[in-house]
Amino acid sequence: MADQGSQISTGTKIAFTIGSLILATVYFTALDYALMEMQGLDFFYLLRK
Amino acid sequence: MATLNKQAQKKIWAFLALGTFVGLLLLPLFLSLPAGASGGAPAPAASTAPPVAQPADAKPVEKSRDIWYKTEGPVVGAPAPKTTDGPKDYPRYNFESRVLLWVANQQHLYYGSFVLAVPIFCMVIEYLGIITKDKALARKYDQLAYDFIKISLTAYSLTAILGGILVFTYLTLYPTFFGYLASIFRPVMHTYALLFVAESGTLYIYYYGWDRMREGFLKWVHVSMSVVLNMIGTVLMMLANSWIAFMQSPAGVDDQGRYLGNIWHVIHTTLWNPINVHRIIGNMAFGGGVVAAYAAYRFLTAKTDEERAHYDWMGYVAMFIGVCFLIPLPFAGYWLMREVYAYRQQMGITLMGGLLAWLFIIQAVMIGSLFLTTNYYLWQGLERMRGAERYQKYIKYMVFVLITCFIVWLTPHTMVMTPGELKAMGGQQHPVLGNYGVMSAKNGAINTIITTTVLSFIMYQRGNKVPTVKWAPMGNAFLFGMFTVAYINIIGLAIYGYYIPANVRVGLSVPQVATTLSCLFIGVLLNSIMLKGAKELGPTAWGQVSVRSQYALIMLATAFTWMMGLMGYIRSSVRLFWHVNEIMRDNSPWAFTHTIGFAANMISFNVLFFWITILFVFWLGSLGIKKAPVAASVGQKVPVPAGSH
Amino acid sequence: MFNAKRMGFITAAIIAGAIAAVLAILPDSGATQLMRNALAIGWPGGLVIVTLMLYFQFGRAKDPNRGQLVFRSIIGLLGYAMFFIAIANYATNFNDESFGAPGEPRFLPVSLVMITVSCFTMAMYFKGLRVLLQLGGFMFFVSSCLAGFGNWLPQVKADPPPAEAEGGQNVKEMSVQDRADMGEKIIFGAVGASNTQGAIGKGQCPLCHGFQKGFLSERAPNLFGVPKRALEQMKDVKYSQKDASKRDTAQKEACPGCGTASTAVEYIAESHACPNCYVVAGFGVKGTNDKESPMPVIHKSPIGLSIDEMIAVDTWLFAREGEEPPSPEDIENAYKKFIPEADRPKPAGAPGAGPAGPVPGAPVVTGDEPVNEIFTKALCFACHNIPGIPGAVGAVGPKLVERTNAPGRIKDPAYKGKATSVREYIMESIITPSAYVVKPYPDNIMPKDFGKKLNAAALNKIIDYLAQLEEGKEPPKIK
Repeated sequence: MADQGSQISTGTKIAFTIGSLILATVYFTALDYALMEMQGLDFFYLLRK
Repeated sequence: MATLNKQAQKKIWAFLALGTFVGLLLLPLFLSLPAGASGGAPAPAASTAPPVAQPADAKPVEKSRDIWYKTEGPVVGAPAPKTTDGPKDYPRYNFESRVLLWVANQQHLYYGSFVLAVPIFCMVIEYLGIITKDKALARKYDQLAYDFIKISLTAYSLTAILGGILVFTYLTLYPTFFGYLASIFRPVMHTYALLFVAESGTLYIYYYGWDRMREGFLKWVHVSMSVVLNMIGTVLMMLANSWIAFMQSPAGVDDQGRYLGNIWHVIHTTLWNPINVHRIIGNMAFGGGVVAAYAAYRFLTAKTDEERAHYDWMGYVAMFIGVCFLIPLPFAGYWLMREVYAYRQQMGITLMGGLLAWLFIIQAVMIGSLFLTTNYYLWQGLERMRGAERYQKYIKYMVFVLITCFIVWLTPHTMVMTPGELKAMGGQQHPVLGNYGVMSAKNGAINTIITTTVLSFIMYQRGNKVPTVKWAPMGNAFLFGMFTVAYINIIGLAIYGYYIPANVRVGLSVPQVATTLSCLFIGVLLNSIMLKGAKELGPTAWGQVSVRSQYALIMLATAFTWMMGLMGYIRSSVRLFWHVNEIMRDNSPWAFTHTIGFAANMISFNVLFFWITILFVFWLGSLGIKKAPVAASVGQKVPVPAGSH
Repeated sequence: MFNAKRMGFITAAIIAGAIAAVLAILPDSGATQLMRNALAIGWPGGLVIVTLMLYFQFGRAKDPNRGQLVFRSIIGLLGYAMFFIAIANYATNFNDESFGAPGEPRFLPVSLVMITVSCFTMAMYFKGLRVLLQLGGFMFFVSSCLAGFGNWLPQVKADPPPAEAEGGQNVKEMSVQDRADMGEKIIFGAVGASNTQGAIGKGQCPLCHGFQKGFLSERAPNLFGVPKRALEQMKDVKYSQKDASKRDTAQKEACPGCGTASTAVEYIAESHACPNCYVVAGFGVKGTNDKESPMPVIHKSPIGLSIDEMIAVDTWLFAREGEEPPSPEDIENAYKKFIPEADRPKPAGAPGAGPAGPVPGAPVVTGDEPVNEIFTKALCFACHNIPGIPGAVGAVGPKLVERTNAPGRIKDPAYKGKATSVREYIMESIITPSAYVVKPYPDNIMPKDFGKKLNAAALNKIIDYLAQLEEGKEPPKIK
């Protein structure tokens, strides 16, 4: 297919994907942590035990 | 210059007209304010006046304490009557009065919700029509809004008729109880009636003025009229809600049910606002369902391709609105439930863990199937688009995920069993399946279902488009990353829940929901931006969609209606044997709580009664239409409302 | 071979035969009855269709569509018959819960399925109404599935508690069996219902308590074997049978000087009259460390059982385990021990005996005591530091120097309450603790039922006192 994506090398694509995964992981972890904290609960309960 | 002056003059006149109009509309409200005050005020005044005039036989004003607000107030009303089973308090036909009232109430409510919801759609769609620059598109929106209001107009008169029937049913079958309610809510009921007049007036002007007010500033006046219309409608609904909220969680009266002179306390009971919010959102979802069913009906009876295209589009828009409001509905329900628990824990337990808990199982089944149906409709919708074949291959995996989650979602926590069965299973919970019956698994399942629905929707948005923006590969990678991690997060949190104590576990549902909502908002938004100026592989051929997809719409509509009946029944029957909770007891022979089966039969009856009548209304509407509404040629640039969200 | 005439005769014969069969020939059975009912309700419309059919057959001899019209009438008649059998089924089985109406509501979804079939069949032959019939049929189908599901689930019907003032038999003069039956009815709503999970009566006990071995009982102890177990519970150190004042629970005694139980029946009576006196480990209100019980006081609103009713309940608790129940007088004396005269529910029917007691929710504080006692009785001291109140050094909640705190909190952007003055703020914090939660303390720790527990006088005293407290200043003297 002649979409723009094909002009970008596979390596860059992989880099983007990995970057996104890291970004999303950070975002969701922060979200989990913040929302648990807001309820006065400890998200990393199991780790600390 | 002269023309400019004329323009300016026109504007001034338009403003003046609007101002007068709004003023006239508010007039009944102002009139009712003193009425409201005189409804509550003179009685205490009367009871305080004698001591001043004749100090000789001065009687101290009896004071009593509000059962909810704990404030003291002068006793104004009579105590709640103690009824006895007999023709005086409970006159009857040779039939269960409560069932008659149930039908009357539910039918009025269905029509009422419908006519309250549709003007809200109208307002939004008409507004969209005004701000859209594309002329053809704008006309299409305008026509759609007009179509909506046209359907609701017939339903409006039916609502009024059903309201009358409801009041007569109350008066004839429950005179003592209704007398007590009326004695407390007297000013509210009059305000309600006056507002109803205002609502009718606005609606008729809004509808019949559509053509006259189609251009320029008058159009803006017309749109603002819809705002006024909706404001009145919402206040109407809130006033009606105050009665049922009072019955469930009374306030403003003392423990004998004597009115203490503060009308605001009586209206503003603890459950009032949660019910208001829940109902507004619920009405919107329901209204979307009914309009979608209408569109499906018109689609299936359509004779030409133009008609089919138009109604296919209309069904899609209505479904979209309905589902948009379906998603926040559980949160409003959660708030309502929390307030119920805070009000009376026993009431909460009766709902969620006691007598009525099985009804929530039915509700869970329905929510699950609603989402499945939505997904099914979206997948069917891919058929409209050339180029969407790319996505067909993912559907089977999504089906698998959805079905798995659906089954987990349905696994009951505990079953009612005979002691023998209990022994055979070795406890209340099944050794393996029991693990899926707990909240942790269910929260994971429902969030996965919703996230998958979002994914279906994103897929649908892209159907025939290929993003051309420079950063498209990055966007795609990000979407992929976000959804992958979101799934991992939701399921991971669900598993995590098994390993931590209950008090920490309950908190996990919040980040789970937040994850789902993140996917919904970020995902859809990012996708929409990415698709700006996208290359189209082929046109969206509205109208070229399977008949099955239209049945999915009908299924959605029926299920919405059924769920509304079910939840209404739950809310109402949780009062158990009280007319007004803990204040006025139901001493009729029908104070018992029906079995689930009986309730399910009644709900089915009500749903079918509503749909038979409203299909009739649709059919009547189709008699009057000779031509297809707007000849929007197939393949022309078609509006996709989702893109603008 | 089959000319129109012959077909007409055959059809007429079939219809006549069917009607005759339903009316006279078929043996009496449920199905026959159903068809007879259907005929009784639907015959006028059927007659119209038959007339139409005859008209098409004989009145339109020249119409080329005659055959089709007649054929459609026959199909219509069939669909109509099915429709009315479904309605008859609905009518007969509508309600088995009201007086004298036999029937089985579980059969009702069958009606919906029949109508579905009827609709889809008709849709095949009546083109003009096809879509309407199909849509309607589909809706009937969806509804029948949902209704069927609802009927498949276990069915529990909940009777209301008997109205007060029944004026029935004197509980003491009943036979043991009758008394136990009355008890079972109060707990489960019906005699013999104790084996059904979900059955619930006026006492509302099964809402939280399990009563059979193995039954779910998460919120409160399972009461299976309680007459025996009571004897062991009383030996528990926490129960502190010798000296009630050494208990660490929210309320140490049911009434001043009431003491503790010495027999099983007294133990049960004490549990009913004073759930807070002793909380079985693990069943306390969350966060109170089993110091406070979630159970309401049974002789007060909202449950409000009379002593006679509690006698019946206790009798059942003993009798159902094959034990000899104590005499009603013994049980009555046990309750009289733990419920002071003034608090006793008036006998049913007596003037003033309403469903609700004087103040719902059992106040622990009368409002007449000095403010330090109110703080102690209401347990504020356990969590809060209150200057000037001996023993009030709790750290679970914030220090209550409200004259200093309140003005700042009202101005806090995060403040969502409605208070505008210090006094209003204190009132709000007591009645709706979640209106503003002081950081870093968590929400939902402070009980939300103080509004119910404390009356206006007590609240006023508390507010008066707290509103005077300032950080770094001497607390006011207690009057």
